[in-house]
Amino acid sequence: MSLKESIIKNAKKACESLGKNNKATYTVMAVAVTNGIFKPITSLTDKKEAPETKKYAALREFLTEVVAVPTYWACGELAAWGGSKLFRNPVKVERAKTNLRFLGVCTAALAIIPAGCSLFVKPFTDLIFSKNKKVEPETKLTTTVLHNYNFKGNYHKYSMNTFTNRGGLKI
Amino acid sequence: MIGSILSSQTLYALTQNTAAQVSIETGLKTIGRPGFILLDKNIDPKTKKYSAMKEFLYQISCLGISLGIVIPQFKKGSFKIARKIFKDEPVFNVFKKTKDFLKYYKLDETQKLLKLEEINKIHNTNYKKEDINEDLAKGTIEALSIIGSMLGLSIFAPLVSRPFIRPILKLVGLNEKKQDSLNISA
Repeated sequence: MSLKESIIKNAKKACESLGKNNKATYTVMAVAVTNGIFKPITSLTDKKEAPETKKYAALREFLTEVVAVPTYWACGELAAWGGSKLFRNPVKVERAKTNLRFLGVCTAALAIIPAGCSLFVKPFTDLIFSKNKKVEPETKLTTTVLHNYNFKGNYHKYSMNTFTNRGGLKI
Repeated sequence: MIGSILSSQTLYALTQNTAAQVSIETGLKTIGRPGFILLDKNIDPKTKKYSAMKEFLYQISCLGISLGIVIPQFKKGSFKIARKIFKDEPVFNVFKKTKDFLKYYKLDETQKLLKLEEINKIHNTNYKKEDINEDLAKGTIEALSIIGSMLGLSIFAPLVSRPFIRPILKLVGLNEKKQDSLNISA
């Protein structure tokens, strides 16, 4: 059997299986995987956004889908497993499993994934970006204070503005 | 009551349709994601509004683009593609269009036999019900709809929606420049 024939045979098997039972988890997981790949890429290629914002958005989008893929699968399969225990009639069991799998996926999309993202993804990305951000102000401060010039163009160690900007009682 | 809903045939038919799955799931995302952003107490109120509105508009545009353009096109073209891949399958010769097959698929057993007789008379063929691989045809439609959803939601929608979201946010009064630095923490 040639490679082409074996690909067609496997594609036929996959399509027949999908035709018999198109599980909701297949679609949402496939979409989540492609979202995890392409959404960060499109965020990074946005020319109008600031570089830091782009990186942040891309990381958050990637991590959101990392959370979404297993959550969709787990919620769908858990709900289907629960559904199989509710009925005895095999036809009803099969229908309930499919219906509950879909409802499980819906619950994941509506509440579990957004909640998971608020609890884990946001703090994690904030942590990474706050670590990077802490370094910047210190370096900027030293450079602005040391390389300050007065109106005559002579080098002066301290900014003239710092004197007027000081707080406290003014007479 | 709950038992009859859970084992309902109507709900089962809905869950088997990729377009329905995608539209319901994206519809729920449209509510859930902005909702949880607004509920987050650790975000600045202005940033919350901006991020929630941005997410809402993004999900709405994703839904519109994939359901209105991408999935219907893939669904339409699925039989053309399938005819090239599965050349010897009678189902793709009997039904020229996806729409015709889906009409046949929804019929009951006796109506299916009558429809097949009618087709055999018109095309002077002798196909039996066993020759029609319904699972393969239905699966091909759904597989291509899944591919369409993947392309629509992940590639086309972000590219197409991006130029529209910013002007709409400005129009609503959510200034991008003010929120830009804050957007990082949203």
